[in-house]
Amino acid sequence: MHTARIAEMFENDKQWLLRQPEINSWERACACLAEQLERWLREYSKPLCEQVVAEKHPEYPSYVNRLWRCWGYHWLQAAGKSPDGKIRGQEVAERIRAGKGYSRGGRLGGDPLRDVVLAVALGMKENEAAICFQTDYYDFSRHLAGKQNHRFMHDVDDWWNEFVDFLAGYTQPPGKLERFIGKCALRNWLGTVLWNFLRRRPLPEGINGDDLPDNPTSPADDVARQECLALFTRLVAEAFDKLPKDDRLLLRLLYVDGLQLKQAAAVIGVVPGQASRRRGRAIQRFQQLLSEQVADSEREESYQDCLQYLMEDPRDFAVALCDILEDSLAEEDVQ
Amino acid sequence: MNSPDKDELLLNAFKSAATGQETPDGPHVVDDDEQLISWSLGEIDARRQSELRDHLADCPYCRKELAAMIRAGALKLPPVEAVVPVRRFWHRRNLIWATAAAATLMIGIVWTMSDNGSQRILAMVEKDLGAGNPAAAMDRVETLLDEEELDANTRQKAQGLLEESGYRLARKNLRSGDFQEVLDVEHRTAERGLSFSRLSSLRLQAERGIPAEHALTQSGNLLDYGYELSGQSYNKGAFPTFDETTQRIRKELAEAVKKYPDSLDLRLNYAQLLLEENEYKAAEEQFNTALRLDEKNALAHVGLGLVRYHREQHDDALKSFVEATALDPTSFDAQLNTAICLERIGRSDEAIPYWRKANELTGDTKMKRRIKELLSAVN
Repeated sequence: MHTARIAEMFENDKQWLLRQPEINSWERACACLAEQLERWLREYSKPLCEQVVAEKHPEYPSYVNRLWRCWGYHWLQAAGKSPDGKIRGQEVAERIRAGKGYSRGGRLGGDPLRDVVLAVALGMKENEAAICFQTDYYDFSRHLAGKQNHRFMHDVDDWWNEFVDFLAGYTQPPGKLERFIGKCALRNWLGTVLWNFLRRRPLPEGINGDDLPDNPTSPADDVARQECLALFTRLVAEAFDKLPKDDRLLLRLLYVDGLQLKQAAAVIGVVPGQASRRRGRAIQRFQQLLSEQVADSEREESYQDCLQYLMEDPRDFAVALCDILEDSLAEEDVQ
Repeated sequence: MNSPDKDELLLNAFKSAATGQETPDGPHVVDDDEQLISWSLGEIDARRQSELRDHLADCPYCRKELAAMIRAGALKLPPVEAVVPVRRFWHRRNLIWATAAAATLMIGIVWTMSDNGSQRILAMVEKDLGAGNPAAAMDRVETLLDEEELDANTRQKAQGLLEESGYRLARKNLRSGDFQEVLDVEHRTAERGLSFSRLSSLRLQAERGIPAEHALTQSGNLLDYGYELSGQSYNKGAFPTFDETTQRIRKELAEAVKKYPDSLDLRLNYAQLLLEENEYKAAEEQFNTALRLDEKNALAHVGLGLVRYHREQHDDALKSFVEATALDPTSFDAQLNTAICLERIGRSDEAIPYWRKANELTGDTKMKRRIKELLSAVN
């Protein structure tokens, strides 16, 4: 019934598929691929759908299409990594079913083939799929939500059903899961989607003693102290602004946004070793600029007074600050 | 040294100064789930990556949100390809292993330094290592080595610490299965024209994709070869496939062993690889050579025991395993292999103390349960 549509589905990938091992005749290859997809669909749909999804199922093409997009994506990626551009589709499937992909690191976070079937089944309002989704992802989502704000964790009922609706599109199709094609497993994909979903929502009402501000304010500083702090901050800001843009981004990610070196390195697109060297050089440059800033300052006298007032045993302000920058990162790394 | 509140004061001044940015008008990259997921999968091209970085540099809102997502684990880190100049890397390695050996020898030399910041940094590196933070130690020592005007003594000391921190970091990564990270660590030393045999040894393990606990420098027990606790063998079928990469690594290891005949780690790894390839005679030769280098090396005795066990020379295998337990009573592998071997030759009663000891030494709850079941069956 759906054979022609299924064969059509492979047409877009014909060019690279024909280069793969064990694929000689196109018609035969399409039949084999379709057979394999059907086998997986039977296997995965069994615990997720009221009836096993087979060829006569009205939504069969939707499921098969999504499965193929997932398998095809990883297969093409694997072929790209292979020296001769060839790899057996079964080998790719075995690997991704074990939760391993072909990007560096290769951790998919689960079996994406199973997850695309779950995604389609949820959109089809399959009851078992909804139960399975809840079993697999409720605790994970709750935990992650708590990292954004503890109130989300304490009051999951406030947002969970809405989130499932947002994903599955029960009340407002299409759901977000329509966009999920299994480039990674659902767990990895869901983290980002949930985070942004919650970010756009108001916080649940606070519960007993929950309304304390996250960062209690410190006692008011006296005027002289505040003036001195303002002077220090201005000097630092002026020196910091003179750093190259890339250095500023790296230092901000590390010291203001609290990322670890490895994480900041990934954001700026370099390996940790390179990021480490850049950081070292940036701190050196910053120290030099700050020293110049202090030396050129017309506020030399106030600066010396402040140094005496705040530091008691004044030593080179620039060196002291850069030492602290070095030390504070080491502490973060340990944590 | 500043007191903590002064440190905090300075750090806060820095944070306030560095935070002082206005958020530009949208659209914001963090609001786009699809783009973020594509970025984390490494799918966006260089131009878009550069645009993203530019936006992040100017947008405190996106930086803050992105950092929060990364810290919470809501967004996976994108892959970053280390730029490894393969040919140069290889030539360098050949050239520099000799110097690496020399550098390693220098670690113990008494170090005197001029009174500058370098001494302080080296002390901090040692502190990081002492605190079990090799990543921070390596970052710090690398920054120091970037200095062009280091005196010879300081440079040698720093290189020694680079080796130590790199080795510890790579070992940690190997244990957690982060093989690419191990390669990155080794690459970081190679980039500087340095190479260290024990780090190369870990790299070779990582290239084979074998976690540390499956390699002899860390471990080696019959369970890895498909032998059950009761001494029966079964086809485990979970060994690495011996493809072109394995052959290349084997060749590389053979050359490395020839070039550095006194490196025990390299030799044990080579022997382990041969053992996995069922080349018992060659493996035995390597383990015996390792024992000539260090007759008290428990791992080499374990390795020799494994070879003998495979050849069904169970009595000889038992001697090797028992020797290993005597040399290193805290070696789980030695205790476990001895117990399995005793079971195999029907001396179950004698195996009991070894099972008990293995049980004490392992933190693996599954293993503990299996040993407990076996012991209760015996009793």
